[in-house]
Amino acid sequence: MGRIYKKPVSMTKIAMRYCPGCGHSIAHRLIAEVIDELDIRERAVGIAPVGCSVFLDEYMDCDMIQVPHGRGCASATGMKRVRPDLIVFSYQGDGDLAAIGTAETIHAATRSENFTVIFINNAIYGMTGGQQAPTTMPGQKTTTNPYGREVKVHGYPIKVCEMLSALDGPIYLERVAVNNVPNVLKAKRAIKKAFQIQLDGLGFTLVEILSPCPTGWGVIPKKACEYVDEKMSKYYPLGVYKDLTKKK
Amino acid sequence: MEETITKLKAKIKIIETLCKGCGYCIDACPKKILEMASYSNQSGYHPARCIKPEDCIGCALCYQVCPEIAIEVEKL
Ligand SMILES: Cc1ncc(C[n+]2csc(CCOP(=O)(O)OP(=O)(O)O)c2C)c(N)n1
Ligand code: SF4
Repeated sequence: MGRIYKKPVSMTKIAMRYCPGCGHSIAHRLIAEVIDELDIRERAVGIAPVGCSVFLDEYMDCDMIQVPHGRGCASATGMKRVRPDLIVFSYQGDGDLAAIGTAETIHAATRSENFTVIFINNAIYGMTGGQQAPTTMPGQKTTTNPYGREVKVHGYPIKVCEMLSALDGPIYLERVAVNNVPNVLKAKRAIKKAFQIQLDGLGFTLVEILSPCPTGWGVIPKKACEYVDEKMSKYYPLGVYKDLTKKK
Repeated sequence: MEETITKLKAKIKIIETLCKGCGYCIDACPKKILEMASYSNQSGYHPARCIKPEDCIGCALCYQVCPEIAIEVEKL
């Protein structure tokens, strides 16, 4: 008898309401698989953001809470400090984490709060209609800049992993993608490692996931995956940005 | 509409009602046995279907990329 691949136990039966080809749902599945494999469902608490993944609490079958836009890291800090025995993860988009929630994120990271952040970078504000996000790349077209992001006017994008790696607080920072099979498998390994570091009580971990948003980018799903390879991962190189597990 | 076919190396089941026709699985399958159906499901998407279940090797690469978790694979 071999392995059975099917919906993880830590997910509900509810069908996900994302656009065809959206990377959010793949990220959800990877988190649920990791929770199953580490056997932490009974003490896992997830934080759903504002954005397309606002209904994450419906899809995950573990304790969940939905918090205001950008406040994931602040809420996670409170939860983890009151109940250090819980395994807390905050799931946030780029408009959420890198715009309205920048301050919360940086300070939680520099305090090395012991929780895990799953950061979905799709270079756009998905839910509100594909506007420019802090992560929109130079030249990338969005609904609010139909001629492409112009750095002279709109400034440069924020590279979250690079920025946080300058701090002493974070223990583990990695950028992965979910646009093809090898990347999905690597993303899962990164998420598992981040959760394991939290279990070991070492401190702040963040996994940035480059995620296709076919609707926001105005392309078919297949082209969106190619875009992640050809454009996004050139501007946002994949890899480990910080790993202090060996030193601690 | 659910479709279960048992054969030698593996069992693949595509839950067509969940499929949104993104086509990721079709590109991921090394045996090229998945294709997009000509009919549409209740949501109006052309679901993926397995044209040669007996050729499935149970690698589950389709499962790994499916955003909807609409594919279940059992390696026998
Ligand atoms: C305090 C507050 N400000 C603004 C909004 C409007 N709003 C809803 S979703 C969203 C953007 C979400 O984008 P992102 O975090 O990138 O997630 P995505 O939808 O791309 O997954 C904004 C600005 C809000 N709901 N609450
Ligand atoms: S708008 Fe983009 S991020 Fe939102 S559900 Fe659709 S594909 Fe996913």
